[in-house]
Amino acid sequence: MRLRTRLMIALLPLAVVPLAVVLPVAQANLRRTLSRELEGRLEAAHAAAAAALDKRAEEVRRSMDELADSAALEEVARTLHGGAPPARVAGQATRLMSARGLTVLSLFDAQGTTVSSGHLPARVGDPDPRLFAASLWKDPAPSWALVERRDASGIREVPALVAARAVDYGRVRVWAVGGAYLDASLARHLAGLTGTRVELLWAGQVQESAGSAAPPVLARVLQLGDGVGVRLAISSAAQREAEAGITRAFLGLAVVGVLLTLLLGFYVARRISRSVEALTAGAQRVAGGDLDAKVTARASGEVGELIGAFNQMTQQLRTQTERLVASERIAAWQDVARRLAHELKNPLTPIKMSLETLLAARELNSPRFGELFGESATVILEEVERLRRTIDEFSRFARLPKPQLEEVALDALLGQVLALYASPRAGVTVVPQLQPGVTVRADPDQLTQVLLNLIKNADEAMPEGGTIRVRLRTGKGQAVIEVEDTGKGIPPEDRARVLEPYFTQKEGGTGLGLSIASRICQEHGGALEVDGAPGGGALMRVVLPLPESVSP
Amino acid sequence: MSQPRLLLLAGGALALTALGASRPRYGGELRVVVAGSPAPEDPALADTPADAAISWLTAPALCRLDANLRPAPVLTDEVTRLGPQRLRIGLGGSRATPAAIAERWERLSRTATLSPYRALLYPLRDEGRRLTGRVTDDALELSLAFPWPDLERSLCHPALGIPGNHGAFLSNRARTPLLANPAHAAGRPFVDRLLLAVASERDAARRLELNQAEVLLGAGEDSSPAPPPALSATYLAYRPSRVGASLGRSVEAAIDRADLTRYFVRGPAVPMSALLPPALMPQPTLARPPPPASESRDVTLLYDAGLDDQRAVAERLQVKLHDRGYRVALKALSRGELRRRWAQGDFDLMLHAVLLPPLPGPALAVVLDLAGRHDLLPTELRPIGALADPAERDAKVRQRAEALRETLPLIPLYAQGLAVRSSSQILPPASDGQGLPLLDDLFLVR
Repeated sequence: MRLRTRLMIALLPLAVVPLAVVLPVAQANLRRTLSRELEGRLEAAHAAAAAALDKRAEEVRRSMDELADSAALEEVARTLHGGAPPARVAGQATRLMSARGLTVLSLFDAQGTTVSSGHLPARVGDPDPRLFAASLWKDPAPSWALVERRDASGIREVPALVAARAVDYGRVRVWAVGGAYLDASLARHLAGLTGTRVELLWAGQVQESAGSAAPPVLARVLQLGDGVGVRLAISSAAQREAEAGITRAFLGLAVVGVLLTLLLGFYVARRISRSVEALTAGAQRVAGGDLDAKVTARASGEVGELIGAFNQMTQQLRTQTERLVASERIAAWQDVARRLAHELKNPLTPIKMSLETLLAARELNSPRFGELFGESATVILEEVERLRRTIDEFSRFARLPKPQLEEVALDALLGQVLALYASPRAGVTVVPQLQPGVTVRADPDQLTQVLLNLIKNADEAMPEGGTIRVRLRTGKGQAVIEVEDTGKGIPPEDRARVLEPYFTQKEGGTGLGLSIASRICQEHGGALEVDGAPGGGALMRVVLPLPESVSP
Repeated sequence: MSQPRLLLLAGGALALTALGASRPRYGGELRVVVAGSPAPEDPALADTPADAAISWLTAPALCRLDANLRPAPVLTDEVTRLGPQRLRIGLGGSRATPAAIAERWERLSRTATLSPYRALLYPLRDEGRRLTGRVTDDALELSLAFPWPDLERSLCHPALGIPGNHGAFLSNRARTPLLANPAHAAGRPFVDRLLLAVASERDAARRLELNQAEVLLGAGEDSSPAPPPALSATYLAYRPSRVGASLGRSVEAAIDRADLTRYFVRGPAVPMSALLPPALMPQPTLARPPPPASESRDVTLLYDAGLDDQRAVAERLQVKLHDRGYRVALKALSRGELRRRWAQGDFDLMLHAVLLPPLPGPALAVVLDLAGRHDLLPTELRPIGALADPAERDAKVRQRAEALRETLPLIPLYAQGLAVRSSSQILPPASDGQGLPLLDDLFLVR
């Protein structure tokens, strides 16, 4: 991961962590405050509902008291006392009930048989023990009881606030049991009064409901009797919405903070990392050999000092490298000069000695002067010839012509070279292993010179005889020619030097043959490599680039 | 003048006044108020006596049964037996054409207007479904599939009435007032106009008391000298495949027919425990069967929205079946929709009222069709029709009705007649053999 990215990531917690710490605290405080407000509203609704139900009970009590005192109910008792058929009063309860705002009213005879029912006219003639049980209550105040109620879907039992009153006429007693259902209209009334969602509960489930409260809700149950209750519910959705709003605001701030942090981090990281990245690029250029590389980025502090030190170090490295190259060049020329002097000096001694011998013989008028003259002249001529050859080769080394490149089939060229060795001396065997069809762009004359030199050296390295293997192959976009002998080989410590001018292991060698061969290979874009053969002999390897079109 | 002479003169004057008052006179407006709902226009839907009495005014049947159950022609000239199983109905003097009559009767068997009253025509060849090919210009010739001596009297049933202002009165679109039909085959009615009104029971009674109506149909105690027969029978039909086979036993165990007529049904009404009403056969005293195991099932009871009695009985059944574990939903339907659901067999429970003919044989045919056992008609009616003696025939019918009682998905509940009250402005109307008041014979005494 890059320094710039790491710096940006490292800055992110600065934006997120404070928000993460503050958010839960703010939410908890908000929730506490809103919950207290909701609890207060629910408490007020609970009190209002209880008061409304008390008022309804009071209305039922008054209505039943008034009914008990009414002439209408006495008339019913009188009718039954007179022996009239019960059908004569069957419709009375409906009239009495509606006139008094009641929703439940049944008239019973003393035995508990329904003689008239306002809320369930079809019950006439039947006992209704559950409702008639109200006649046994000692407390005249209304109380809760389950009362049958009919609707289009069937009969069901609904809680009702009922009270019983008795009317006597002679020996006939008529019981009136009436009251009000805990029904949808009451639920609607309570919902309108309290502003809550009202659910009427009995038999373990919600039987009626009114009002609305979007979930989630805060609820409280007003218990009315055994299994009968009114559940008041207030929506806490607004509270949740407020909490969600706060959370959204914090999240928005977090997002903005993160974006600002990223921008700030990008700017800061860019400023910090720009110098470091320039240093990195400069170091990579130096590592690639470009000692002229210089870091130009501006920075202050330690990074600025580092850039200065880097540029100074690079400059020193370049200066030292130039000095080293110059020293090496001087040393190389000194070595060449030393060797050249040595090569030139060697013939001078016999020449000098021959001339001194001739001079001495002439002064002494030696009778062998003629013989000596002939011998000395021969020596001098030989040495002069040696000097001329040395100078010619040096000149050729120094003035090697530029190669004239053309398409050369190496297998054919090697065939021509090896043809010169078709009849090698006794004990020497030439074994060619040539891959056909290998073509390079080369100067055929110079390349022939190289190959002849290598084969000649191999031949000379085996005075006792041996085998010369000549191989031609291709690989990695290169043509490779290997000349391997079975002689004594080249010690590893000398392998690096055998290509230097005037380094020779042969008696009478100039030490320029392999140097010239190496230089020809370099002029062709290739190389001459020195190696050891597996059997202990020498292995010389000519590597030439293949043309682009034939490169594998 | 001595006191006895004065008393004699006063008595003579009263007698003359009474004679003058009872003498029929033409003209005037007769106001009839019906307690309940408006009568349907289709005579085949006139299932209550009040509906049939109103319907008869404009859409009478071919004939009318008198109190002795003899057919008196209304739209026909003559009804002649051409052979044991051939009948010719002459219509020369009627505005009702044979083709209209045939079309009307065929309508009872069509899918869209299927009616249990089609059973009245069942003895006809092809069950009376192809009559239009048997008409001439002035007569309708009927062929019977088997002997059926009661056919002539069956044709007098109000459900076979012919709409089209063939009755004693002519109706307009508003159906009131009805105007006297001077071309009525049986003669012009006495009154010029007949004003029909529908009101609640209390309002109808009040109108009569306030002399705002001369006749009240369907409420209060009947004031006629001879109570009409209760031939409007109400049954609880059920579909065993939908409500379970035990429902019939649950209903029998739950209901008290006497309670129904005592508390929930307007009089005159009588409990009916047999397939046919008490007017047609004696009612067996049924021992209330032990209730089957309580069954929890949701069922829907359909009833006629126009009949308060049915609503009260439906609620009673709802309560009593609730005690047996059933959850009974009530659904009030118009009579046409109720008849359509019956024809399609699309119901759980249905309260069904039919106006039965005062003849046991045809009545049994209607009841069997009502029970959805149209398939029983050939096997049941042929042996009955084969009996020439009316007493034997009626005895056979009663015996078969008793035998079939437990096999039909039809529970008889009660039978009702029509309570008729009249003001002092008219003489109390007489009733025909069907128990319907002869409103077209009424006249105003002052």
